[in-house]
Amino acid sequence: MGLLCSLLKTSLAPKAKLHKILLYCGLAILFIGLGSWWIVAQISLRAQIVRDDPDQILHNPLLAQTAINTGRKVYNEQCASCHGPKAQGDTTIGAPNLADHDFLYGSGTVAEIEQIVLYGIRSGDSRGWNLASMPAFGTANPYAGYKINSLMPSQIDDVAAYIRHISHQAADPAAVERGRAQFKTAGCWDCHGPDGGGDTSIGAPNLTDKIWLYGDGSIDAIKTTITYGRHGEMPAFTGRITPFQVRSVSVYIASLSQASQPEKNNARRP
Amino acid sequence: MLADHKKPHSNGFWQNLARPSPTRSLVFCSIGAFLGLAIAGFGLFTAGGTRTSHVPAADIALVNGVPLLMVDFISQINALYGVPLSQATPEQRKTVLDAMIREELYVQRGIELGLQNDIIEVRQALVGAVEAQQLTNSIATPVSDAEMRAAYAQNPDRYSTEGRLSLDDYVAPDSSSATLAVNALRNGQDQSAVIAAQDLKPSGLMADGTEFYFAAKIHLGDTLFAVARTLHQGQVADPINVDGRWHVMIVRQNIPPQLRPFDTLKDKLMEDVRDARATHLHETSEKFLLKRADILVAKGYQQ
Repeated sequence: MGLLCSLLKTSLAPKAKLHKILLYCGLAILFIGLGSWWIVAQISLRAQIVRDDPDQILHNPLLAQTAINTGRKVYNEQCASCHGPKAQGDTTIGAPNLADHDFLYGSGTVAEIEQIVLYGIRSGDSRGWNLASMPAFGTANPYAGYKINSLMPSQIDDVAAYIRHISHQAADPAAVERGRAQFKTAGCWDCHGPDGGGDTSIGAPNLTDKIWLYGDGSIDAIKTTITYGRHGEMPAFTGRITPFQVRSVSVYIASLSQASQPEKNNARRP
Repeated sequence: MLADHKKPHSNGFWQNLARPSPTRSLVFCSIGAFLGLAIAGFGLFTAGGTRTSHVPAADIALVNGVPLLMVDFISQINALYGVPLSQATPEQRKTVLDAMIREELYVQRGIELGLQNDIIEVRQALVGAVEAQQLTNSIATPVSDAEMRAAYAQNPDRYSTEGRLSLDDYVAPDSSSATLAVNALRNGQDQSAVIAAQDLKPSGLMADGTEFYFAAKIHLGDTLFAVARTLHQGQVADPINVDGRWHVMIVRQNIPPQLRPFDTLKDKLMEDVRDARATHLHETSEKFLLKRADILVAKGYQQ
């Protein structure tokens, strides 16, 4: 302003030059004002995304679009290395498909996804999901948490046949019947339910569909899972990314599921 | 030379404020300094902690500056009432928030009182929390393909299939019967005829059919298993004396452990690499804590 005053006071400056300077100053003030308004609006928008009920964000187009745009970037930086660039998952490491309608934990709401993003699965964070894991029935000590009896190779073959059967795949009928009995007594239905339908409150997969978290549903893949167990992990991102990024990536992942049609994909999601 | 109106005025410095006055400048400067010191001193000696009137967007409340996370609030509403935030009644929200605030106040009070030093459960929880924090860090860092391949190469036994064994195990009346039976079987004589001729009795140790190695080892015992695992399908072991009983073993099937393909083990390898990292972190952390600690051990108890 001091410079402006001195310029205005000087009688040597031509009138046209003075007008030009005033014009530039006006434009600068306008741009600064607009910029400030935009920054404040963005900060408010981000605050609103974080503050709002997470499950309502997808119903607000402005909030949803902002969250999805940021969430996509966060996903590519933090999640794509395991879940894949298109969120299709990776059945070799048990990384679920995030773009389908099959939910391993919860029902796929933004709030539930956010909980998983923040605290992880078997991540070491006590607030994360860590209620159960798949026992290794073909080992001397199948489960670290408590005593579970091992299975013999023939029993594992039978249970695998039964799982093939309930997932609508071909299997030896006699083995299926033996496996059905084994499924009850070995402890399988404690987690997967009497009908093998799974339990999303502990992350036990539904065995009656053709969606596989590990492997391709072949008899060998099923036997490997029963014999050696599974213990997938998902890191906790609390403190690693900002609350806005956590909320945004959760909204983005929920949007992927909503955008796809049910039963289109073939791997499981958290 | 200064103009007359700009000359410093030493007398009556309030009369003409437009005229510069060194005395007036000094007085204002002193007042400013005094006020600054007074405010700083008041703040210093009466400070009750900094306080903000603004609750960050990610939080539901601040309790003595400690944030209570909105996501925890939402999950507790869901856990307690089974409804999402949007469907929770004001009473339900209040109940959960009050409980969270109460818990935080009690935690803070507990820390003030130093309870973590006295209560066994709190001590255990603190130890567990520190260990879990280390685990969290180790899990959060992505595992590279090179790390997995290194672990795979270093521990082939760990990444092999469990061997499977199926055999017929008989007990002979004495060593000569056992030797005769083994020779007859090796010469291709009918197994049932040999059993009858030498009066062999099933030991019952492996009556359930094919077993995993670990189970066969438990059932057969170390001595018999050590021999059995080296035999191939159809081979007959030399007579073995275990606790005064002569065993004759005919191996039906023996599938030794085989290294599983790398691609089928990625989840296990990731877990193992992370576990190894966590172990390393635990050890490093322990060394660091021991190094910086001042520990005195009573005489006679130093190792």
